[in-house]
Amino acid sequence: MRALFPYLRRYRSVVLLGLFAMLLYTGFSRLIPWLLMLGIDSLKAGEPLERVGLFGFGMAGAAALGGIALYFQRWLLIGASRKIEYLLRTELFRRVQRLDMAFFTDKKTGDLMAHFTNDLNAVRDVMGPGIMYSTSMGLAIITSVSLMIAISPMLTLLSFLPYPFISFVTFHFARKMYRYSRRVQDLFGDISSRAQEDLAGTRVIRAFAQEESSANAFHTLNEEYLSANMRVARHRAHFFASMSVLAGAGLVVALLVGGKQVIDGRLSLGALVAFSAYLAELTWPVIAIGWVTSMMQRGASAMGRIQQVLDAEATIVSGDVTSRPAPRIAFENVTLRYPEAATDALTDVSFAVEPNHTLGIVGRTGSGKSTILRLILRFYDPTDGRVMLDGVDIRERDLGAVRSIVGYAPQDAFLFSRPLAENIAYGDPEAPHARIEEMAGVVRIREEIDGFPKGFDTLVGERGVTLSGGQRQRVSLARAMLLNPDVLLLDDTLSNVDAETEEGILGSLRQYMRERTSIIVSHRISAVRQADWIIVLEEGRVTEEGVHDTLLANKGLYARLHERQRLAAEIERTS
Amino acid sequence: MSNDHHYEDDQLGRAVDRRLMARLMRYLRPSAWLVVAATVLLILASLVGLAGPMITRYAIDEHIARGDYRGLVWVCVLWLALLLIGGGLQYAQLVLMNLIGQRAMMKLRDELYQHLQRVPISFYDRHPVGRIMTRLTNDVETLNQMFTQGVVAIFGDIFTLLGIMIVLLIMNTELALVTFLSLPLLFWITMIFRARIRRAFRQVRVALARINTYLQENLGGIPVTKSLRREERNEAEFDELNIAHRDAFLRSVRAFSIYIPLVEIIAALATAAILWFGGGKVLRDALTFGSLVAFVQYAGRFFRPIRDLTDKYNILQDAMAASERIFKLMDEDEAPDVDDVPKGFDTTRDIRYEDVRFSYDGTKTILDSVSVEIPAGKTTAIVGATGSGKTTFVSLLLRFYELAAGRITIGGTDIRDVPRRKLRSHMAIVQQDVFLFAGTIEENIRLGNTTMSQERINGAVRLSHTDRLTDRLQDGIRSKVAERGGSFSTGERQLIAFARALAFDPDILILDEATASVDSETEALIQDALNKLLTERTAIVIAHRLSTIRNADQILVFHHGRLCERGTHDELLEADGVYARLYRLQFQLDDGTRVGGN
Repeated sequence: MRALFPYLRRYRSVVLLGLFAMLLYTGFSRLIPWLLMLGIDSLKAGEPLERVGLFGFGMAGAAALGGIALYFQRWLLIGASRKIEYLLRTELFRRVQRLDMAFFTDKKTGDLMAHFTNDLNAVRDVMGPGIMYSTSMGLAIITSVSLMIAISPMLTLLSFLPYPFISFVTFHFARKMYRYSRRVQDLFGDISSRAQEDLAGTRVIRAFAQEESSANAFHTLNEEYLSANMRVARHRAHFFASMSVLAGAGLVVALLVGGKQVIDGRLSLGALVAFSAYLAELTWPVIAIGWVTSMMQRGASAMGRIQQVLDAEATIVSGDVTSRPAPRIAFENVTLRYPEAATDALTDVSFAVEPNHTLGIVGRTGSGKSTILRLILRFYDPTDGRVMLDGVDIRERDLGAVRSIVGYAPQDAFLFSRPLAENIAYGDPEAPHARIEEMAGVVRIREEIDGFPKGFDTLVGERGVTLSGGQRQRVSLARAMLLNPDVLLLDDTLSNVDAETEEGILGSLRQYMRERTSIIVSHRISAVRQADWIIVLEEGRVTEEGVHDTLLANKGLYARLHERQRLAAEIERTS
Repeated sequence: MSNDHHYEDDQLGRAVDRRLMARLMRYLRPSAWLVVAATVLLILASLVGLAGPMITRYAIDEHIARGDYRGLVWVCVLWLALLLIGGGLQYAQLVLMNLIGQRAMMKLRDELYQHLQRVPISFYDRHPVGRIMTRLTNDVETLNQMFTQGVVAIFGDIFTLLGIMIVLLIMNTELALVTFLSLPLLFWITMIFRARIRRAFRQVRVALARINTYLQENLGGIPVTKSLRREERNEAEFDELNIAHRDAFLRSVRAFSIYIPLVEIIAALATAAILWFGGGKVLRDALTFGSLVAFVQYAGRFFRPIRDLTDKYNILQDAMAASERIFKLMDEDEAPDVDDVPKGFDTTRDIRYEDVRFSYDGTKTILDSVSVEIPAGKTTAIVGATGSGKTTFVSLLLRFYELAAGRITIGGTDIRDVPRRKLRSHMAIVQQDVFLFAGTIEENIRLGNTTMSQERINGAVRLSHTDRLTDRLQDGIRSKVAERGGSFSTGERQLIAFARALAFDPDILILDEATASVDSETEALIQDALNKLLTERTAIVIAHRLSTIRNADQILVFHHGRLCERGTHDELLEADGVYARLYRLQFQLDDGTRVGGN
């Protein structure tokens, strides 16, 4: 919770003003029953109506002033909580974007999202309603009770008899309620994931003709959910019913004891009415004590979770060398083990790529090809060995300087739900449209885009035109090339494009690549055969390297892959 | 940022749509008597809840004013009794109301679930499961709100309001009318602010949906952001969304900040008016003190039901939007099916494809004029390149999709004349991408079939060598399987799938053998399990392993949706066609275990 203080301090004067308004509001609203008392008593005393009317006007005036104070109280306090929420969310996003890649691999997107939604809401509730209600309740209890004591200490004492029960019941209720609601939420989660799986696996369920039994299982879960919900409902109903009985009992006592005092002439009728009004006003604050307490608890643990993210230290830190490096890359005995992995992803890998040269990397799935590219982007740092960029350890270079010379097109072509043009220009939103079209032409998607009804303004995403895997990959490649990078990293970028088209795209890229340093990762030999140097990876180790012809002569994995792909292509053509 | 198209889920319409309402009410019908009881309880509870001020009035006028303490005691006892009765009524009413809502929701969820297991498989090709899920969970939950807090509670509010008005009118018509003067003002203000608050809340919701979409997407695209160094620009974009959210929220806070004090002021004005006019009457002895006090107390209670009513309006509006979406899903056609098993239907007989043509989308033909006989009790292997139609060929036998032309028969019976579940109950399929459900290994073998004996499961586990896997695990076959079988390797998942198929002991077995790399030990186990699976039943195997293909009684070779070759291994090699080339492609070059793509 202490982490919130800096945010509160930013709005210190606003919050203090809000609290002052609250003080005023409390004062004015306590005045109303008092004026009512005076009015009734003056009426009872047979004073002229004008005098009684004065009290009526007094009440209206107090209400109006109180209303204005209440406006400021709510606007200032709750408004501040919204502004703090905004600051927190902004800060959280800023931090999350700068976290290490490793952080994202072991955390699910859903969990991260929860920080932004549930946790942030819980914190905001504490900052706004939490602070507001707890202070206003405190004030209400103090003022009402003082006024009640002023009217009659004895009556106060007696009519307060049910109130310890109210606090006790509320406290008891809030604790159990939280547990029961958790159970409901858990079951809701179970139902969701059950349905999710059963629908995703509907082919299996239908193939084995188990629709009925899976529906029964779902129904059983549904029934459990119903009874958990009913437990909450019963509990809540019990609570509300007991509250109205207990709060009502206080009023009964007030009437009984106060009535006696009125009969005995020790209390005025107006005082009795005012007393009952104060007592009735107390019910809500007393109930809310338990409620606010549990809200505060939840807020504190939510803030703890948010704090963890805010405090997470990035291990990939920028170096000091800010000069723009030449695109000369060398791996020196690089070994990488991903966090919490059992084996190395790369073991003792060494190679060098000179400026304007192209390196090809071939290997099976999981052999470590993509890892090499991630190291060049500094998504990870090697466990052992060094990645050199223009003769300097990449860790000593400025992170921005490194990434600014690298263009990266991953195999999983992630596009954003915005127009195609914006996707291509994602790295440089100010890029002229001609440049975007040019890039689309280079990756040979221009004609397809022009074929869409909305052309480059076509929205990518569920409700836009659904792009094929190959189209996505080409857009992602255009996106990487738009920035005119010195180093181009292609991570099996065209795997979903057929071999012939890939060949064509690479052909038109070749001129472009001649002026750059390129690393092409591919499962297709045809994509890398023209590279200046090729390395073959098997289980994280370089097992073969050389140029196409020497590798073929080696008769190793490279040669086998080549032969197989050649034959497959031949079958496609002949039959 | 042009992502407005994402938020059709937020569009709201009318609060009461009679057509939707009528359909929703059907779900209340099984609880019809409970609804009646809850309504009666609700009315009683709101009436008893109104007793307080009346009792105060009576106590003041009849007892306190006359100095009758004994009478006062009895009145208090009566009040206490009424409080207890009221509490009881309130409890019973709340519990009943929830029960009604929960039951209706359960029925709706069950129906929806069963419906979703009956819509054609192609439905899932068109609709992402995530979106369907939202209907089944969140939208149903929204409806629940309406059932428990909305519809019936509206009656409660109305009754409370009417009750107060009637009591006031009886006590003193003139003063009552003066008091009612505040009502139009209150309604008017509530209407104005309700509209403003609702608008603000809708903006908040849209803004929040945008924030969440943006986050979801950007957390997924972190590598792109990092490699293109978009961090700052993203922050600026996010800030825009965040500001829109904050400002919309502030608008709602402002509206509330004005509305709530206004209501309090009106309440105070009403009290002042009562004191002024009522006071005059008391002085003229036209009104008792007790009545004056009761008036003041009732006036303070006017306002809650009116405020609640506007909340209910929002709940209703949300519920209508949710039910609209749910019913749209419900109205999705189910795959047509027949009821009775035709006489003589026997899955142990020959299968015949007769001139079968199929297309997923009606334009691109996937299978074209395929005619072939699959002899009973024998193994038929299917070979072909990726996209040649192998998987479609077996999906059709399971009737996952409907043929465009031709027919498929088993022992002469068209499979379209057999109820789907009967047809499939004699078949089992092991898919290449084994789908495991969260639960235990045993549950994944049983798939909910409660009639399956434990011995049968244990036998299947042994035969399929799944015991090699389960013996290593602490809880044996009761070991937990994570969502989608994440905790097991591909090979292990396949063993479990084999056990599943063996346990169901089908007449017709369909295998889509995995091509994924499996370690050699598991490979041997799978091979052995496979041999056991294939004996003494009709087997159709999309084959990747040489041994399966060699031992197959016939091999079907598919190419571009057509059956291009058919025969045994030796015959096909001799013919030197597509199969021979495929064979050479895989076996001469690779480690000699697989044929064909997948």
